[in-house]
Amino acid sequence: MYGLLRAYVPKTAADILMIIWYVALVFFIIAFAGSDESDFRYLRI
Amino acid sequence: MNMVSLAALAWIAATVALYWCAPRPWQPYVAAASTALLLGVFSPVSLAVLSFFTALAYIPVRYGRQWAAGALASGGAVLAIFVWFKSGMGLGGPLVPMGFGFYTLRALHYTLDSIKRTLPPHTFGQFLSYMFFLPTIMTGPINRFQDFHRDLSRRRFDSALFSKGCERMLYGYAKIVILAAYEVSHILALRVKALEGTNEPLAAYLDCVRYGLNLYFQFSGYSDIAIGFAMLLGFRVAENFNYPFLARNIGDFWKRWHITLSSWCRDYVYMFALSAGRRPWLAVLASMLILGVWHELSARYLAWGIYHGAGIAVWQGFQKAKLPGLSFPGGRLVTEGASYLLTINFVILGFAITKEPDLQSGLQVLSKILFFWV
Repeated sequence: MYGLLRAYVPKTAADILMIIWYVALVFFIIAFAGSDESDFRYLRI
Repeated sequence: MNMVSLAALAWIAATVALYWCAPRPWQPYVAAASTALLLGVFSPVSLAVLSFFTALAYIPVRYGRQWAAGALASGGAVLAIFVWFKSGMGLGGPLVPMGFGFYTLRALHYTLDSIKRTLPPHTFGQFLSYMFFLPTIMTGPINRFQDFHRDLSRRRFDSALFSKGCERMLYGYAKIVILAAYEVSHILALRVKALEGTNEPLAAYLDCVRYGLNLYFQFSGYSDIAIGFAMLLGFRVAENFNYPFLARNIGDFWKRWHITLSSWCRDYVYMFALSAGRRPWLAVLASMLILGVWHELSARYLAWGIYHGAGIAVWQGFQKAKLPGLSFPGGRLVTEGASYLLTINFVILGFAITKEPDLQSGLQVLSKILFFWV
């Protein structure tokens, strides 16, 4: 993903966009955390 | 322990910190000790079974007077215990130890490769750290000893690999929490439920899509976490998924879905059955049956194995027929589009068999979708 960004935008902008992307991912993971994983059968295989 | 939790993340962080703080020769044992402690606390049965399998796979192979007979006996014993547990008899109930299916296949791979004499020279400590390798213990990927042994000698702290590992784990958590648990299991499930009263066949079909997407995002998410975690320890573990829903035929699908399991079946079941019977369709069917039974010893997974085995056999026959392509402009595009649609729908209908608790209910869902006009 970083490589793709670097193809179109300068390095500093790509770095900033990647940081925003990671922070957003962490935010959404925390926001949706606590999900029930009991339906994931590969944990019981 | 919930694998997607702060407690699990703290366990991973502590293991990685201790691992890199320890002297280099001790590092693999730090990871192995972390596995032993984790299993000992949360599933002592798993720790006992894993230790037993490790000894069973190693001792007869290395120290048995009749080397090949010892290796075969240990492989047979591992397999017998696996089937015993899978049939629900294990310790008087339907109890399956954590990560059981994955380390069983690792132990069998080790035993069979030792018969083929394809294992590099190694010590018991190296084999122990392979069997107790924390990143892949719960949900795979089913990594091979040769790859593990190579990384064991080459590994060093590499900041680029470490950063890649952190990124990979982040994507894994995002797949499980955002895509699988929220988008698919919550949002899509609500949409499917709303359709149930008005269009039953479409709702049944979309529920199979929901099941497949949930399985994919969860499983590939767990694989991403395992691969990322292994990178944090300086190991490169084999990929488990490669955009399976973009497969253009059913053979291609099985090269993209749960790759380490399908390659295990190819190497240890398909090749053996092919050399014994000389019939590719029979070898495929045997492989897919074993693959189904590995998931669960039940009628629905046997049926699912036969379904996929028959699909691959038909596709292989179709390939041999070498039918002429469509000659009009864009003919190739039409063929590829049709091939893609056929494959994805074949896979989705296959999910109908396994998503229900028993075969009969699965077949009812399947008939509801296939005979939608009735």
